[in-house]
Amino acid sequence: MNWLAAAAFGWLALLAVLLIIYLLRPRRQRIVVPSLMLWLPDERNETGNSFWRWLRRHLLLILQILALIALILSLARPAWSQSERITQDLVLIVDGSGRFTAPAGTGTVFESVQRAAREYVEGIDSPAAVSVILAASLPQIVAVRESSVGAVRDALRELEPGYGPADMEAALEIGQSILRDGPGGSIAIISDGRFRIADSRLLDNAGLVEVAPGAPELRIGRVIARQAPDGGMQVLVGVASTFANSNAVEVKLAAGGEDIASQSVQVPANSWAGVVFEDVGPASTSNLSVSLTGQPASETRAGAPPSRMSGSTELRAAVVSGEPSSYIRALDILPNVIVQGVTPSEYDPGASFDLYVFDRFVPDTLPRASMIFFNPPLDNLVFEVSAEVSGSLPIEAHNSPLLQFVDLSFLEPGEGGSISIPEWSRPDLLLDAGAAMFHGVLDGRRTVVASFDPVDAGMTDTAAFPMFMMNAVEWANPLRALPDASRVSVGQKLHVQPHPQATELEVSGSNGKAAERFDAVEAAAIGPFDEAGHYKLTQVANTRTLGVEEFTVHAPWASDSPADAKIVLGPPPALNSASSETRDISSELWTWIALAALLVMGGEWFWFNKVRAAG
Amino acid sequence: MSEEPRDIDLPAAFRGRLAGLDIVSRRPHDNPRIGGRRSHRKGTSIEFADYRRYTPGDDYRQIDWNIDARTGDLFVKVREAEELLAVHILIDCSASMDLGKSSKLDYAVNLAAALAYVALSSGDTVSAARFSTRIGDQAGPFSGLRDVSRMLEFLQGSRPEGGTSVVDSLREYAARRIPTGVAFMISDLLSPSAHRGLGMLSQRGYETVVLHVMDREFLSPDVDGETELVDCESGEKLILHGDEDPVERYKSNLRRWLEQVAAFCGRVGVRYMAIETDWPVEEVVLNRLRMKGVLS
Repeated sequence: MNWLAAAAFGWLALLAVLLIIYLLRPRRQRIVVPSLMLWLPDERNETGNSFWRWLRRHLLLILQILALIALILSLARPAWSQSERITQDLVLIVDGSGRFTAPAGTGTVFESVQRAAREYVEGIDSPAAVSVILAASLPQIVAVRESSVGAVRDALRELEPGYGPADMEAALEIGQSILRDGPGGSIAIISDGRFRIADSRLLDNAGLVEVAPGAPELRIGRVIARQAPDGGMQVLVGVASTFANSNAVEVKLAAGGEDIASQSVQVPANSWAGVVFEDVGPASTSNLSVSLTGQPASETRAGAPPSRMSGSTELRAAVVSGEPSSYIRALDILPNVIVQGVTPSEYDPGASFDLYVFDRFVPDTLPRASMIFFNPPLDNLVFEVSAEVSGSLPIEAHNSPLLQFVDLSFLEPGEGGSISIPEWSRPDLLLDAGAAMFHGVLDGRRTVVASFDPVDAGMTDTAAFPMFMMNAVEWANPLRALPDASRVSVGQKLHVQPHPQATELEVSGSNGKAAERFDAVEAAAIGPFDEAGHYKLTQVANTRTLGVEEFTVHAPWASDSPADAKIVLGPPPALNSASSETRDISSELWTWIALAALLVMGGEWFWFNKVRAAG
Repeated sequence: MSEEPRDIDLPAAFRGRLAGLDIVSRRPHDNPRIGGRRSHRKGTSIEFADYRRYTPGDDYRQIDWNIDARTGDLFVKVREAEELLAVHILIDCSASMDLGKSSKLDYAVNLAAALAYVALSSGDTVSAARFSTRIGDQAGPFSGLRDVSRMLEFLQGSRPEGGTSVVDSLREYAARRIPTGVAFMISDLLSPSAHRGLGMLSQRGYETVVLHVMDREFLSPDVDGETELVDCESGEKLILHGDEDPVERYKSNLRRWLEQVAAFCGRVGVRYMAIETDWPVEEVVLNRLRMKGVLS
């Protein structure tokens, strides 16, 4: 117990004043009565020396003294000091990427991740407040500053991996915020290290507990259900593998608990493969699973979600072709896409379509929309098409957004011409001179160009074509002004790719701030943003709302770094030895004592009034 | 304590009215002296009372021969006896009787004087005694109006002293071999077990009348706040801290005590009357005692 204002004890001198006043008070009156017989015999003075009688007689004085002492004590500001052990934070970020659902031994890779996390926690020497974050596509905090190892073990046991890649940056942001709020500590990332962090500051005090590096996975990448040319139902499945070797993969389609169809496909090392199920019935009743042949399923999907297309705004597409049916059939299966066939003679550049598919036709006047060109004619004014036919197979560009799950094995050497690669584009299929496919932004229009004719090449009858169309539409969708998952912080601008028809971009914050408007024609970037939070971007074409997207502006860092190096992380830093130190915590008690003084004074007032009433 | 004789206020008009009153005796007493008071017993006075058949031993001079002539049976005349009523006046002279603004002792002395005057004017004998812890000075028996002055002189000499022991005092008085009669005990009864003493006089044949004198301060004490009470007789002290309501409790005790005293007197045949000193003596004697049947 400490006294923060001990000088206040000088007021104790008031006790003497109180006693003097008490002694000088008028004495009690004395009355001679004929007999005490009828008064209370138990109040005889000669027997009134007991403590309780004395206490009762001087109760008012005692209460006054108590109240005065309590007031002086509160003025002296007593404080209760105690030492508190400082426990640093240990933030466990458990990578919950979908690839960890892959089998490993008798369990899954994720189980080994959980085991590694548990062993790491049990192995630390210093006491720590352990927080657990599951890094999935949406990070989850599953334990906050738990000092009990048992509670942490329970939290780890409950973890389940998500689907797709983990948003490790978001998880690290949460982890850093936990460290900032506490006395410091470290972050242990339990992962195979297959993630990228753009901002190296997120890795401060962080280290990697590497688990099953390069853990292989087998997953369903694409599922498309569509009407086959002969009228039956087709299900197209893209299977991705990150195994270091080629594997035979079994893809099963089941309905009502019974297998309907099963196909085996050889998936190359760290690659993908597609299979097509014919005449399978309604896809919505089906279950789909993939597995290494003879092993439990790595991934199972109920239903058969056909697309990753986002947003509820409908995309209006036009197919400008003399024979548009193949394209219409490929686009029809995409959600939120309304497709219409138009002959080249009917083509109207002023029509309000969002996406045009040009088949063997390049208009003189380009539409204000995204465009996909197939087999542009030699005499077009936009692309430089070579008449020479390449004799070699095209080379796929690495990480092409258009060729995911697209099996181009049907392409024969010399299929289609070669087009010079414009400056605004990025090649997807490289030829000796030029490209067989590229994409880029042409005068504000997202444009995909393929030099071959998919009908002639037989591509439209394979699963590759709708998958390609899906990829192309997803990339070229002009209703999405933020084509990439851009990361923006406070003070930065956000790159946008507006719809060619958009006249205005409207940005509104989730904090109720008034919307900010930008000219869509001039805008290549919006911002800078002065406040972190969730924002909404709306593209407007005069009175028509083209699309609405949401994005997040992250809290600022001291400085930004363009670093985007592949993770090279050491083990997590050991918790500081200060974690065993203590710090003094002092809590003042004067309010409680002052309250006690008030209670005593209230009691005194009550007693005084009772005496007066009795008198 | 004053050495001056106490004032007795018996104006001539009051005396005249007192002379018309008698002290009521409800039963015969063993007073050998014949007086002018009609007795409940049959006696030898000239006042005819009744006839009864002659029995051997009767005074044959009392045979009514006229009735014998008419009826052939012997009847004797029965005449009323006339006796001398002995009136005893016992005055409590304890210290508690002389306390307060209006002295109960002064009041008791005046009341005793009035009663004595009634008795003496009626031809009764009056004996007086003062008591506190014991029987003190005594006077009498006086008889006739000529003794009024001596009686008053005795009463004027009453002085408060000591405590009160009604039991001891009345036991001592009742033990004396004097004619019994009507005994007036004027007291504040502030003595433990005072009522037991009242029963002693009745057992000895006294027709006891208790005149319980109380003053206003006794009935409604003025106590406020912390107070030290001192017993005027014993010197005992009692401190009231004012944390309760002592006056209410006192009044409750007083009410219960008065009820106990009155109930006890009723049981032992003692006539009891509570008197407040605020009441004029004339009003008490001329009205209240007559209404109570003590005087007629």
